[in-house]
Amino acid sequence: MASTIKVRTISAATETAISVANSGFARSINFGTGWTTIRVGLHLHMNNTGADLTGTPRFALGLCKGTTNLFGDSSTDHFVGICTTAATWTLGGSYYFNGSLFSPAKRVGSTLTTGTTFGQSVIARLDTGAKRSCCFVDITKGSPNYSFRHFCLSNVPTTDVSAASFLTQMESPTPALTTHTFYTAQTLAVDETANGTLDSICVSWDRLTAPIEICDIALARLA
Amino acid sequence: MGMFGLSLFDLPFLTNNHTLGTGNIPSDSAESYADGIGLNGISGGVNGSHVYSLSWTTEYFDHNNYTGILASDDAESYSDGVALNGLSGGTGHSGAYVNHDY
Repeated sequence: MASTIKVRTISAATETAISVANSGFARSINFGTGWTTIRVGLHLHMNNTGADLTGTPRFALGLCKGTTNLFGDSSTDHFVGICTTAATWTLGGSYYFNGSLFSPAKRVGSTLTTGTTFGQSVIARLDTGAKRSCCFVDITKGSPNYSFRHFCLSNVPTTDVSAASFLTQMESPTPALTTHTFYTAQTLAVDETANGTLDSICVSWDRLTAPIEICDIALARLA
Repeated sequence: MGMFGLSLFDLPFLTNNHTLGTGNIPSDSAESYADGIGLNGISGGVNGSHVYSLSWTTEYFDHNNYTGILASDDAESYSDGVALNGLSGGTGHSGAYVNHDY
């Protein structure tokens, strides 16, 4: 199923989102090569299947080389970011979660390499009321190890994060929101010279029955 | 020297007729620069020719690598139900969305 646009009404306002379901997308951004730290951020929530999601669902967020061969394709040109590595996304009262949901990740060809998991991540469901949250990855260059930080909902969602708050947090070196956590850095070796310069945002979700809706997407240069 | 210390030579300057190429103000058409070169440090253009005209005093100093949000899309410009592939709303991007189905 192709990624499509989904319009809802949230808090009496129109919320238009990119609904990703067994699909992925990329979009090029001219952020050059002189960056030290890039943040890719999503403002999101997801649909409910009524059951746990099993079989290691893959949700990925990060940067890729070009827009031709993406994270979820049979062969990837070069993806660097984070992806989910947990075998099961457990259904909670108003959310899906796992105690170690995301890991730093790179994919070159058909080889996925992941690092140490960050910790508990939660994605709120939209069937129990609006509880949109932030999901960021900060990518900092190193040689050879790039470092990755993850900012996400990490506990039972209690508030709905607004689009304005999302953008404010996107620009903050140390984002902070209720029930969100900014995890300490994990590392992974990355070689842009050998595998391709990262120049595009890339998002991927391999499940059809629980579309993830991306209400806002942004890229910020932090350093 | 006339009234107020001005002379006949100042008349063109006093007319406010300082359009590009009249020789009274510094200007740079950029035509002397090669395609694709960086701006920082280049110093083309011409100065005003009159004794009271303004002049360029330095080369260009280009500041880039700004931090902050470089691109964003709130998706609000899109219609319900349309496919993402090819949409190009938002700001700061250099291409449209490319969607791949699995």
